[in-house]
Amino acid sequence: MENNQSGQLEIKIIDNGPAIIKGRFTLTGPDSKAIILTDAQQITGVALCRCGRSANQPFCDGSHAKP
Amino acid sequence: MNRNRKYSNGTITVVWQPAECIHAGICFTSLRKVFDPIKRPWVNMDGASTEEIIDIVERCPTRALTFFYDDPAKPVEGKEHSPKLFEPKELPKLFPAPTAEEEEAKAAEANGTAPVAKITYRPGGPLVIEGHFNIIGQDGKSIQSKLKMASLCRCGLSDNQPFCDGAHFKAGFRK
Repeated sequence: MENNQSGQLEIKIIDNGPAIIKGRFTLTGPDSKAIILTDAQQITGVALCRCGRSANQPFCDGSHAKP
Repeated sequence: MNRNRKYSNGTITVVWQPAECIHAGICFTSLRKVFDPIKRPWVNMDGASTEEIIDIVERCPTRALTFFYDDPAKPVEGKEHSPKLFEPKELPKLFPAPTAEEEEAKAAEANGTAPVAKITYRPGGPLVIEGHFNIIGQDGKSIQSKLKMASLCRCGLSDNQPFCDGAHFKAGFRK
């Protein structure tokens, strides 16, 4: 499927997994600090943690799959 | 079932409609003396002046918080509740923008690489997404493509996945 159709950010929710964010967006963390994403990351998508267990917040580190 | 709550300080009554709340967190990050989700009741109308409370209520992006004057003769001034949402061409003021140079932003807009949405988070809270976005479930179907703002659960405890329902507060989620 085409990404970025009509300039929308695509947010794909993976069951028991992260949210994959594809498209052009800004990501701002604690203290209003911008988290810099590369073009490649925005095109292929970044995985953001949805389980609260990742040690690399806000990104997914695969902790959700561990027992 | 009406879960709406009203809180008065004798001058104004603040109305909270939990069904409308997306937990963007503007109220309690800006005025914790009044809006404290850990406390019960979570709104303390004696925590700040009426003017301060009105200012925050008017910044609620979803109208989950509204107010009216207790004196029926005093209507809420004609100011239509105007959520200050992210518009791609007008970079965010609601949450301070990453101090990206404006010229760079203009150039990005010109060559089609300007951001179409903005994602913000803080420790212990949800991902707040503003702008143009489409949320797709694992079955490939769009869950929500019309919202201009949404909060996604980041603690894994929400009963309303993938959206935030405020469960992180009760659980003491800190990451």
